[in-house]
Amino acid sequence: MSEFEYEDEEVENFDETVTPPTGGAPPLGRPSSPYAAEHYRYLGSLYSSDFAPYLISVIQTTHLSPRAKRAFISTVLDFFSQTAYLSHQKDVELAEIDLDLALNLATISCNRVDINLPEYPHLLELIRSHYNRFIISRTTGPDRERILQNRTTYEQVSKVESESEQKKSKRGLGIVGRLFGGGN
Amino acid sequence: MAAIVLDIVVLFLVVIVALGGYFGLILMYSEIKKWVPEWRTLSVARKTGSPVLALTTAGGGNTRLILGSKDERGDPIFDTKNQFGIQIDPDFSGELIPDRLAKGLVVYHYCTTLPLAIDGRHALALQSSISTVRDEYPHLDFLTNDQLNALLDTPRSDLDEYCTTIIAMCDPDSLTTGIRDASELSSFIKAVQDRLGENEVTEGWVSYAYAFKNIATAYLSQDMHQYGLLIERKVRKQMDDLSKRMTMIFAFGLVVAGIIMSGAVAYMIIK
Repeated sequence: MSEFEYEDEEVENFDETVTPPTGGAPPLGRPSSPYAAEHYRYLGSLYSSDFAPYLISVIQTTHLSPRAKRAFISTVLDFFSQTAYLSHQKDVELAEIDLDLALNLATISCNRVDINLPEYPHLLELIRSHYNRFIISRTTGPDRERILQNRTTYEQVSKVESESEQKKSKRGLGIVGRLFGGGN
Repeated sequence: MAAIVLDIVVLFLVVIVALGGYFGLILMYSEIKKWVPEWRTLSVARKTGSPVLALTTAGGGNTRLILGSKDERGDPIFDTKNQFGIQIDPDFSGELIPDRLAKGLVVYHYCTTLPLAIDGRHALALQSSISTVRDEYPHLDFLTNDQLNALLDTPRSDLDEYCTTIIAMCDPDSLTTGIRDASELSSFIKAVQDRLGENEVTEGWVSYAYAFKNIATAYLSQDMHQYGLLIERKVRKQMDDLSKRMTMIFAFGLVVAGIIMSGAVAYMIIK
């Protein structure tokens, strides 16, 4: 008998409600249930699009074929994910091209009935405009991860102050300031 | 010195004959130009051994003949100056029997909107499949050919869901069609799929325009062309960024080298 075969007695006594023990190590990765605390929910809302769930529900209620729906939902989940928000894009145009490529390949999953639906071009435009104007524009600029993690408030202010002080101290040899009684 | 004496009558006759010849040539050229516009394509195809691409408009049936030349040997697509998107060479896309005309002329049949060629057998199979369904399953008459082909092309695991969508779109009258809900439509489609699996391709008329109109795919040769353009744009953009970076590094290197050299010169002078 192989290890995947069971005795009749074992099968009869099998209880579906009993979950197997998970061991001592905590699970890794994202939590299975969302954080309950208000602060974390607020942060989660900052790093995700409130439009994405609506868009997915729109895709599910369209008259597209199941294959086309799957292709569009996968594309939306890919480009509207929190990972996309937290990414650092050096060039907006390249990200836009990647979305166009994904939407182009999604057409392979569509049939003639799908592309003749009035919902089809509208859906493409919704995805494209939201991503190009509202998501990808938030992924540019330096220190993206740090800004999104809200670690900027104190550190940036102190950095700006110290930089301005350094500039003051390095400006010239300080002769003019010394002559007229200003500067250090 | 012997003088050549031409009789005026002979000269006149020679001019008349020459003019007649030129006039005949012009007539023949205009006749060919007007009524056999593809003569150049056909002659070059026969001379070079290149195939001719017959590009048919789906539904309409107008066909243009274009020379199937290539940019370079081994290229999987024909160079048609992107008049109708991309056409893939059948040598790379699967089994296909072209039309073979006298003196080695090979003709591939494409649609103006599809990247892959088909041959007479494919056209006949599509035509006989649709006619079989229309003859034997009058319950499905409320479906358009596009909807029918889309349903026949749907995997069975998705069929129930898609039938629900199609029923919602069409809202067929159950009294005339005999189909009351999505599950009944799904059962019919499964029966048709089984029936067509055993169906022999009947002999009869072949229309490439009809076949192209009823191919279920929506990925057009223009989409494939756009895909190529996007890839090209992406690569060009990345190369531009790289070349800009290299230029900056080169300029910075020049400045550093200049500073070092000028420092060395100054040191030499002072010393």
